[in-house]
Amino acid sequence: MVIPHHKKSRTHQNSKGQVELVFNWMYILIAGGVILLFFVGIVMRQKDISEQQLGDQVIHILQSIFTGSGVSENTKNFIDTSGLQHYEFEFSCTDGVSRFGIVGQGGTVEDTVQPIFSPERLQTPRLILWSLPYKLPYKVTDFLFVTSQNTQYAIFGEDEFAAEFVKATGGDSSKPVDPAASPAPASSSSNSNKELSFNVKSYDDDQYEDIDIGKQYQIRIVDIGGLQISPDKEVPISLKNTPDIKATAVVISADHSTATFYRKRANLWKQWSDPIPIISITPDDEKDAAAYAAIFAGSPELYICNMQKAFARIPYVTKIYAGENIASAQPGGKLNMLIDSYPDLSECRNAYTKSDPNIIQTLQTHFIASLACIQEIKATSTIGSCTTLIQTASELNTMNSDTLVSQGCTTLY
Amino acid sequence: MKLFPINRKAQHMTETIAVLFIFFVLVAFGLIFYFKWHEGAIKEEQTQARASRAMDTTLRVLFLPELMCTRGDAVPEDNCVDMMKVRSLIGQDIPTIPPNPAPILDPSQSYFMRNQQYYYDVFGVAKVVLHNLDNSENIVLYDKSLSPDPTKQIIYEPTYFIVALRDIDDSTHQSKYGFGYLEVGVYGEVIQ
Repeated sequence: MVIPHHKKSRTHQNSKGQVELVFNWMYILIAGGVILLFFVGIVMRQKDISEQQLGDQVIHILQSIFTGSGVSENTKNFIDTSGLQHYEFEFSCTDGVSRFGIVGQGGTVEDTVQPIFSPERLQTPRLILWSLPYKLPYKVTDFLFVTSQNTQYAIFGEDEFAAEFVKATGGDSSKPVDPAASPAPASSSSNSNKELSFNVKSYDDDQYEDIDIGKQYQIRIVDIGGLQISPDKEVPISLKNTPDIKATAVVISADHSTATFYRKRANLWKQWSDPIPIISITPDDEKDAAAYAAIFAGSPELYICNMQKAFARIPYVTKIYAGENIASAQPGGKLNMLIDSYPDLSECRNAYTKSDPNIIQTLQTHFIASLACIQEIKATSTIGSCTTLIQTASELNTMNSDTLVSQGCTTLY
Repeated sequence: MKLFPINRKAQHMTETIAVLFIFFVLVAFGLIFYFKWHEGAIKEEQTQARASRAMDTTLRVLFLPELMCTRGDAVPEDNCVDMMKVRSLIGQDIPTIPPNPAPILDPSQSYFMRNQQYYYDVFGVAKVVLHNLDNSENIVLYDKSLSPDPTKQIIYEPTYFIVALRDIDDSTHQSKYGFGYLEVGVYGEVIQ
């Protein structure tokens, strides 16, 4: 059959028009898709940036809170973090530099000055911050303890130190705090007293198997005296299903001179560190900041590394009191001004300069001991040789608080 | 018969170009608006960060063991600066026999500046000045500014805190107190 020419042309035009129409639609779809993808890409990128920025802001705000809480000594702060309870915070410390950040997000805050003792991880609707001065023998820095209400501290031991710790933290021997309870406003009084306290529970020696982590985020067993925790001992039954990283223990020796860290591995307690000396000379009526730090530090690394920050400060503070040439027994600083304020043959001048022992000698020994301590930590990450500081600080404290006071002389600090 | 025969393809292309032009103009407006807003947000963030840093630095200075008035084992005196420590910080711990003048205070020679490798982590880019109201003496304890950059303007935001100045009376060896204020400022920079 022969198709007439005019019909042939119209058929050709129709099929050309159809192809063009399809092409136009495809073009619109592809172009629209590309534009849509472009904007979706921008939105996704902005979402990531916003999340990162929010994380950074949270960290920086918390850092400011840490600074504020850390510098004013003997203060406890309960921070409502219910809006952040989906974030998991992590703390680490190496070579005297501590880091704090949110798990899974890149941004961290570093600190080389403020010693912060905390568990390795925290996820909580309420953060607890507590600062205590660290004196060796004069104030060197403030320790900041960071923990949460869903971190349970199970205390074993019946000596004064244990009782003092439970009292200082508002601990209770009846019932741990319910972590599911929403935080109450800080102003509400009696009912919130329970919520505005640490999650500390003291146990009798025969209650080892009664330990129950319940709904808490993690547990730290504090064995004062070392009667409960030993290497390869089975963990309490209730902790057997607890993830290993959420159950740790610290044994404070009976004389409170060392702390040994343990961690849970396959239902057994495994020794995490050798006994670490607790460097402090706390008078009876004061809280032992260095021992408390061992209770709050999540790992031996966190403890030693943050103690390193405190030790690093000692020579700087000592030079203010004793002058920059105290290593060669040349008094300067405040000490020199005190010496010059007394006549040559006075008792006070003698106590500062000539008696045996005298303040100059003791400060010199203390300064040199602090340098040796820092050297050792840098070289070996241990603080064994820092025990010398206990002796030198004690001597200095005796001279300052007893000798100088009894002779009516102005005290150094 | 049409006076001006229209080339349909050319008309179609002109329309497409016009639409694309308008589209890109709108996108350009959007981007300009976004970047202007972003710039403002960055400046706002910088201001907030500076304010936060100023507060942190001020708190650190007020409770610095190197300055504070301690009382043996007792709780230290709040908002108090030990003048003997201050004199030690600025190198005036070597006695001067009157009427010999005290050494001229060179801020770059203060204790904190000489030990910057440590104290930079405490204060950062900041200035700490103690103003003694009793003798109108201004003692610069720390001053670390930002490196000059021609494209940026350095700004300085000080905050002031009244403090007691504790000293020792040379004749009675009792504490005596004066008044002063601490100026703690942080340096920041803004793009010119």
